[in-house]
Amino acid sequence: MTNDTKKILIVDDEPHVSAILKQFLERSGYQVKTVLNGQQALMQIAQDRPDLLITDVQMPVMNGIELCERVGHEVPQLNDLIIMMTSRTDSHIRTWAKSKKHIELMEKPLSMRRLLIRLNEYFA
Amino acid sequence: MKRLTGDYFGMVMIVATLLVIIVIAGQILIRQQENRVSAIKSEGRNLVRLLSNLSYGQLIPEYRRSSILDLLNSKQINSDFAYAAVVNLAGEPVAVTTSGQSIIPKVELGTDASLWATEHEIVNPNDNNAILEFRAPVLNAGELSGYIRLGYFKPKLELAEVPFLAQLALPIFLLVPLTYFVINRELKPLKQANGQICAVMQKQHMSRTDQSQNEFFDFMQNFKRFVEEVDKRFGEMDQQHIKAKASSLALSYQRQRTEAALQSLPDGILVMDEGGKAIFANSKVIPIIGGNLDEIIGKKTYEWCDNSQVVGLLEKYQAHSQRFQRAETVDFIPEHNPRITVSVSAYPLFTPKDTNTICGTLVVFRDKTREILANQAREEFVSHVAHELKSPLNVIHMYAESLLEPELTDQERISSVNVVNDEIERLSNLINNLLNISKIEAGSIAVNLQRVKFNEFLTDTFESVARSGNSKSVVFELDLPRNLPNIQIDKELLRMAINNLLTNAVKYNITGGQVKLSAEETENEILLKISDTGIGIADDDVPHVFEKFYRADNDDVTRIGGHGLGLALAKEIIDLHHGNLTLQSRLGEGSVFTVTLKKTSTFL
Repeated sequence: MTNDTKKILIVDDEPHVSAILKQFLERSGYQVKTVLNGQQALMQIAQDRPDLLITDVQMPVMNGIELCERVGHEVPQLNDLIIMMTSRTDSHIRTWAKSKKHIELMEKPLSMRRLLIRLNEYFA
Repeated sequence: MKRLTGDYFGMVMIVATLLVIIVIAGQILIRQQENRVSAIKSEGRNLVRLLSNLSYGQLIPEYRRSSILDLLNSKQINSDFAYAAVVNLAGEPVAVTTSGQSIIPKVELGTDASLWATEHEIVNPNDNNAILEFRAPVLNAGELSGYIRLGYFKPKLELAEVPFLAQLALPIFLLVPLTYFVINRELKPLKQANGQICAVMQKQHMSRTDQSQNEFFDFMQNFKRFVEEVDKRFGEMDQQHIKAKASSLALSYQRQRTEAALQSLPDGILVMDEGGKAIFANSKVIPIIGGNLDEIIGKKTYEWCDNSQVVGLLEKYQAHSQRFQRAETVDFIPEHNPRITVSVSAYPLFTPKDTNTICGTLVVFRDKTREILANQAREEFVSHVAHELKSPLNVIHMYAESLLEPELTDQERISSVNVVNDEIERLSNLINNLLNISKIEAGSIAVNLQRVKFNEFLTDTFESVARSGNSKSVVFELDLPRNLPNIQIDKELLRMAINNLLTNAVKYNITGGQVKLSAEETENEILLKISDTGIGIADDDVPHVFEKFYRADNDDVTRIGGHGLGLALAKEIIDLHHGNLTLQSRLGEGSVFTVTLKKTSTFL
């Protein structure tokens, strides 16, 4: 891995998910921070300027969709890719995601290895 | 007809009167004639005897002296005198005197003529006049020498009296029509009354009325019959009136009952006639479509309904009702109340005995709002359940995947396995919740009652929730009296209920909030209070929170996520224990759920 370590922010209300992702991605050479909801994520983004956002959809206080809508304008590097982990196959999420080119949906249960391949490809 | 009968009666009276007059007049004339005949007879007899006693010489005049017979004639003893003659034995007249208009008829006197005066009625062959003749022998010196014949005209009926009689009869005769007229006039009201009675009786189909000439008798008969009939009718009418009153009471009772049934139907019912006019609507129609009943009854659809869809449906239905033999439904949102969704169904109304003839349309308005909400809730529920099921699966999947990493430390490996175990338990809890609520709802749950040390039970339940940790740093507090009595409960079910209440208290709490479980004992009951300092529940939502799938329409609640099953299950379980679950809450301040359980064992 290169010296400029990429910063990744994981947003999920499920602490177990954030924990294992953090463990896995840090082992793969990324710098990972975790928060519990969209609101915390916005504060973290403003403070830390991460290179990539991986977020859950359903979260208390502020959900993933609202987070994505609000994050785009302020942080240019996040305009290229946001990964959303969704357990919902609802059409409204899919149609919403289709209208946003930088949103990529990854179905739960999430394969961490596939996520890592996508990240490496993105940052290559 | 009646008029003619009256005339006929008059005619008969006139004719009868005439006859009576004629008979009386005839009788008078005949009597007069008889009187004259008897006068003639007595005069004739006396005279003829007198003459026969005279001497022959006295009878037969000599020297042309006038005889006694001439004297008779000149004296005109009787106007009917015809002749007087003395005849010899051969019958030849010896002395004759006549009244001038009569000729003495020849008669056979016979040989052994009687010495006594005799009477004869003869007919004058010359002029056919009937003549009464008195004869007596004439003696001359003691010897029969001839006969004296004295003739009188037999009096005929004296028609000269007729005009006089007529004069007498005329006023009598005139009295008859006068009397008839007077009687008739007096009878007129009676006749009219009779006519009216007849008409009434015919109209009323009473017994047949008699029509004869005797109108007064008719009238009395008819009047009597009429009175009887009327009396009978009144009796019948009394009976009918009582019956009708009874049946109308029964009818109105039935009608009221039917109407009450229609009114208490949960749906709005509107009935239209064949012409498309509303003829009935129950009160439930009003809250659904707005306005008031007066604006609907008797009106066509477009007059009371603004919604083009509904008007379209009902008018289409109306116009082609023969073809629309089955119900059709449209949904619409009424203008006056956009919060509700109404489904309008039109059904053809067939006449009771003929399923081909349509006599109107039945329109059913159903407030579908709850149903739609319930459907939405169910859909959301399924998606929530899917989410809830997938979340632990996701975690299990990721941790299982992580176990494959070669450079994992033992510590990490153990913690991963623990996480997998926890998540499996969470998953199994959720599935148990689902199964239990569906079992309770289906009434097929087996309740396993045990006498339980309540302090211990509550502490265990509380600890397990407090231990499971939370992301909100909620503070837990347990406040139990030392010695709560042992009570009979289904341990597993009640644990689930209290667990649900406690986890909700955590779930809907604010960060750093408080969750408290306290208990207090009364004479018969144990009160458990589960209180939180969370987001609270709005007043509108309080009555519904125990409904299955119900989720308050609140951003916070939506964000928190849940399946709307926990409280419903808790409520069902506590109901199974014959207990009570109530809620006091204030939006933004928190909620207190109170569980009341009976100390004495109850049959479940």
